[in-house]
Amino acid sequence: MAENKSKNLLEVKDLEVSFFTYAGEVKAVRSISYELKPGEVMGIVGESGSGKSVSSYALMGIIPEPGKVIGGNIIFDGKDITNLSEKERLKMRGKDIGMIFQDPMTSLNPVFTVGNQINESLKKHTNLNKEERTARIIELFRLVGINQPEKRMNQYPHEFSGGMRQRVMIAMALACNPKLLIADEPTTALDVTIQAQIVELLKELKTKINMGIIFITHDLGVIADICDKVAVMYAGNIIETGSIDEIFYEPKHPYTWGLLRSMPKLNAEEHERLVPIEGNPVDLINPPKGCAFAPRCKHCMKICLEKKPPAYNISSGHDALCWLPIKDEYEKEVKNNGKSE
Amino acid sequence: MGSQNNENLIEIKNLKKYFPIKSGFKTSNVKAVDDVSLFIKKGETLGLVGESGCGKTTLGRTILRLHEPSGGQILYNGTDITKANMHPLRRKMQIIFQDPYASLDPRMTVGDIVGEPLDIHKMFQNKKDRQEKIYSLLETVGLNREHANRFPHEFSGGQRQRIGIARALAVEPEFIVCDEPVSALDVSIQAQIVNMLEDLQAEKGFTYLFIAHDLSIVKHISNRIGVMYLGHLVELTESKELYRNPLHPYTQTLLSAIPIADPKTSRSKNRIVLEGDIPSPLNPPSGCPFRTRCPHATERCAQERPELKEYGSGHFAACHNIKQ
Repeated sequence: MAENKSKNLLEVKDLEVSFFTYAGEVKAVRSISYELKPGEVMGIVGESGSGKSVSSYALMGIIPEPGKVIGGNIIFDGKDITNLSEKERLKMRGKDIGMIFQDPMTSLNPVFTVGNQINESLKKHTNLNKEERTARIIELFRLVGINQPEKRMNQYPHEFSGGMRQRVMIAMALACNPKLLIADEPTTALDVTIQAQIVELLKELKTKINMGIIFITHDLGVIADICDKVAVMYAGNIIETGSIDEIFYEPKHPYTWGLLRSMPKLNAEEHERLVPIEGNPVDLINPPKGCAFAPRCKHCMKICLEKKPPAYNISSGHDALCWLPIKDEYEKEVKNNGKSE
Repeated sequence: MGSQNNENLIEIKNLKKYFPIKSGFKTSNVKAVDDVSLFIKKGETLGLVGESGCGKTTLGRTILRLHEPSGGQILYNGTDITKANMHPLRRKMQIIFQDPYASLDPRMTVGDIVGEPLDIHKMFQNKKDRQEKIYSLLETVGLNREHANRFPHEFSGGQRQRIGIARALAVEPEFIVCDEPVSALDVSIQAQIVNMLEDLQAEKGFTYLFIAHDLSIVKHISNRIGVMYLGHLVELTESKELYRNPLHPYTQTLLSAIPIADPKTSRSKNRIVLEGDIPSPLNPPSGCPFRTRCPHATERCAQERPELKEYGSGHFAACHNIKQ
């Protein structure tokens, strides 16, 4: 177990994804790096257009046209999967990496029964015979909490409610015991009471099956509930990454501050005014020269507009892409030097 | 939150909205809003929460008579408007829609979108006056005059929602139904819009009906909150009281289901997870609508529908099992 813990399931290094459109190159993901261990849940938060979904599509090799991975490496389970052929990808997709999509209403095929759709991936990736596959589907339905699995597996998607369809999607993603599960906004389209059911289910599965989960969402509340560590994305960069407590209690990047402050607190006794992040998200065709967040940042300095900040290591596992902590550090040093001399 | 006085701007009594569904010879009704009574005071914000399909949007639209009510009464400033000619009243009552992408005509310039209500109600002397009015509306919602000549597709979601708000403000209304105005927006943009709605209310004394499924936003902006379930109003009280002392079991689960952006609280929290889904409004359960998912349901709940009763001042709930 200890050995298993130290080995990374997934390593993403300097990944870059661009979309080549008529208007120009849209740099959707601009050099991101992260690691994930088995049994760990990493949350990726960010606004729409920040590149959080695209970066996970790159792992599956399903970036839609005209997008391309233009740089970096993805190492999954010790193997470089960045430039796999489509044939090799097909072997891996659904088997080693499972994915849950955002919209349960449109991600299932309406003309096949749900059992049939799960059967498809079992048929492709396992050596089970027909009876064993049926037994596996029933087992999966029990696992994700669908009652009367024998009857339900022969029904069509329209006979399921939104929450139930999302459970079918999860069952499908788990069918071949993947090592990595990518959940792309799995609860955004659902109501809060159903969201709570799905989040509880994923938490239970995480401990049961010891798989790595990448959980993409824009809801910080869900992140706080389920994740071990968080990466905050803005304009194609991971601007801050750290353990869940570090991000929520000691955030270092002004964008993370802004995100945390712009949400109303349910337990607030007095009426507090919200603190929004002024301005609008950046145009990724012509990203600014310096820090992408600089035009909206209250702490913007001259250097922020001119030079892209490096990743600054605050403590082990906690990094921020910002000049501000570097400046603080520098000032501290100058002060100390002044004293000692 | 706005200043309030005790006059009721809107009062609805036993409002019903049924949508008929025909299958063969049989016609059945979807009871989207069933027997809802409430009032909204001048200058206050009444929040309305509930899961999708609970009838909150239908209620908002029926109050504006965008849907014709199937039964009950709507009073505006004390006069019955259930059968009235709505044309002059549209100047007083406006709506901001949920989806900023679908609610703006892609072929009209922003200036024309904001100017259309002015045209309909003939609220300007000459062309120049109209133009000035449009400019000042755009500036009120934080846009520039230059934006008037552009088309909706050139704007981001947050900016489009601002255009939708400017259109609602054009006729200088008193009452605005905000139908999930921020749920399609990113968190950082949500706060901008919510703050703007609050500022406008403080400045112009609007009365809002704020519909949303996000309880933390509703609690932030509202004076009082109504909770709906399957077409019925199940609880109605002041927003702080609702959070501190929820009486209805559905409100309790709804509050406990909200993810809190604080890892320490969220780890220690005991969550009530509801079993099952919301029942079909075509075939609602007998008695209390919530009884099929309620952890405290008894025999009585299946037979008798609980009435909305007052527990403490201004705190209403519809449940048989609340201890007095």
